[in-house]
Amino acid sequence: MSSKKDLIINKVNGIAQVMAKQIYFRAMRDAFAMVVPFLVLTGFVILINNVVLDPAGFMSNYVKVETLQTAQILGTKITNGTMNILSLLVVILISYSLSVTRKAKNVIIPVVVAVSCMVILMPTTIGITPIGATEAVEVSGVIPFSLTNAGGMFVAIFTGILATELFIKLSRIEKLQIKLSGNVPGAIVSSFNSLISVMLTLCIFAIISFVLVITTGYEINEIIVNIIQAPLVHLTTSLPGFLVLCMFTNLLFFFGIHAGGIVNPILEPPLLVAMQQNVEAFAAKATIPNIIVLPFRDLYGHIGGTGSTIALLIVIFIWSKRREHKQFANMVIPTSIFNINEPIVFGFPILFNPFMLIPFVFGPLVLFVIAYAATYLGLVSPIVAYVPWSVPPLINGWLASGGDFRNVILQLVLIIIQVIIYLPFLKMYERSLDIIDEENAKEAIKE
Amino acid sequence: MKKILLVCNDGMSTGFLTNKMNEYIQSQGLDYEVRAISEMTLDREWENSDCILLGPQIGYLKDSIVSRIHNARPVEVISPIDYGRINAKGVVNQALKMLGDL
Repeated sequence: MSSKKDLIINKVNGIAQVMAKQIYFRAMRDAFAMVVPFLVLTGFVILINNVVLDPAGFMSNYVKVETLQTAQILGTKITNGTMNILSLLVVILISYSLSVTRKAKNVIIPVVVAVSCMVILMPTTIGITPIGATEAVEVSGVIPFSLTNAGGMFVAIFTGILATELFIKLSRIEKLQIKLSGNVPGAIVSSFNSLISVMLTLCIFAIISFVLVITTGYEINEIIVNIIQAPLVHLTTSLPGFLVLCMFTNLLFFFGIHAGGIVNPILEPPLLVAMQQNVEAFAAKATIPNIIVLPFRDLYGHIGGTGSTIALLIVIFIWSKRREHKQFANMVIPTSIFNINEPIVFGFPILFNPFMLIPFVFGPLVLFVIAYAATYLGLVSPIVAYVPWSVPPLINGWLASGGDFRNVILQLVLIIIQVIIYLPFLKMYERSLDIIDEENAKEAIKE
Repeated sequence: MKKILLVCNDGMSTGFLTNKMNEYIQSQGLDYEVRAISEMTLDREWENSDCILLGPQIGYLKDSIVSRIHNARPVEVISPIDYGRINAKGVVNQALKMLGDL
């Protein structure tokens, strides 16, 4: 039995190790972790601008419409510096993280090279529709937010990785380094050292982009968006694709492995793109395009952490017959409120507990289907604001929906359903523990 | 004062354990400091430590972490049960053994 268990542990650990060694996954994960404050601020500002300061909303009864519109400018300035340049932030952060991992001599140089390359890849003329006009006009000399917001996410990921790798490779070729002799300050030496590799990297990106436009008529941005970004967003925001990826997340955690470096780099970037599409549609008062976005997972299937273990705690409080389980549940409440449930996974334990496999891994998938249906039927609001995973349940539902209490009610219903799913399995688990206790007691008497 | 570094995915779940461990260390009149960090920041934090304990959820990274710090500090994975039960005493003792103080 235990040797079989060890075999599974080794297998799963092996796969996890291979995935985690993907340094590009690491770079992406680090970048998305560092960009969170910008996303949270965007979420707050969008809510204030479009719920509180809405010129057609409740505040217009007390304040002049013009005053509300003026006040919105403050928020718009903030969204310009966060949401609207998200891809620029991502290209910087990915390049930075990768350069640190690759132990680049002077990290700032590959970072600015990557930013430069990202702008090189952009089209030289843009079709823009002026305010009040109906037809687009071609203009040059501008970068529209549509290329620097979440729409450019995958261009940023690719440029961040490729430009940084190319530059670091080139900068390590001895023959391309210009050696200065004599008494020259260090900063000048390092900028001369990388002179040729900087220029070469930028030229290579420019030439590839140029050749693609000349031969195919498509900009590299369009190619990346159409061939990679759009299908990935489609896959992860479709219910089946999303369910499969979330099943892997739950299953890994059942084996005691955090999905952070393994599933999340595949799941999170496209779901962030989808999130920003919703935010933009909400700000523009358009139809919200996506039901599944990043916080959909945390709101409806990770209630109290992966496996929606808050429901397990409720089951224990009401129905458990074992004192140690009740004591344990008491102890882990403080972390569970913030959706941190490693103590439950390792301490209860969920880990390799055959009774917990079904409710922990598959229960949340049921919740996702119900939440999807409820949103699809318009019973609750779609998610329009980004909320980080550590915001307590119910509060996160209210915030992410733009202040809709129906979403909070949905979360309560989902918790009740998950309670019903956990209940029989907890009963079975406790019965098996009782049997073991009885046998131990019998043996103790015999001895 | 010797420094014990706890590492997990976000530095959050080990954060709770850290508080309990520091309380336990104070109550025993010992001279150690426990800090929790995210695995992301390990590369710039590990030099300021004497031993490194990993949360079991990133236990699968042990080999790669050992090589990332050039095997310059002892690295162990916290026992899953001690971790889950927030058994501060057990984890402190594990660290003291690693440091050769127990």
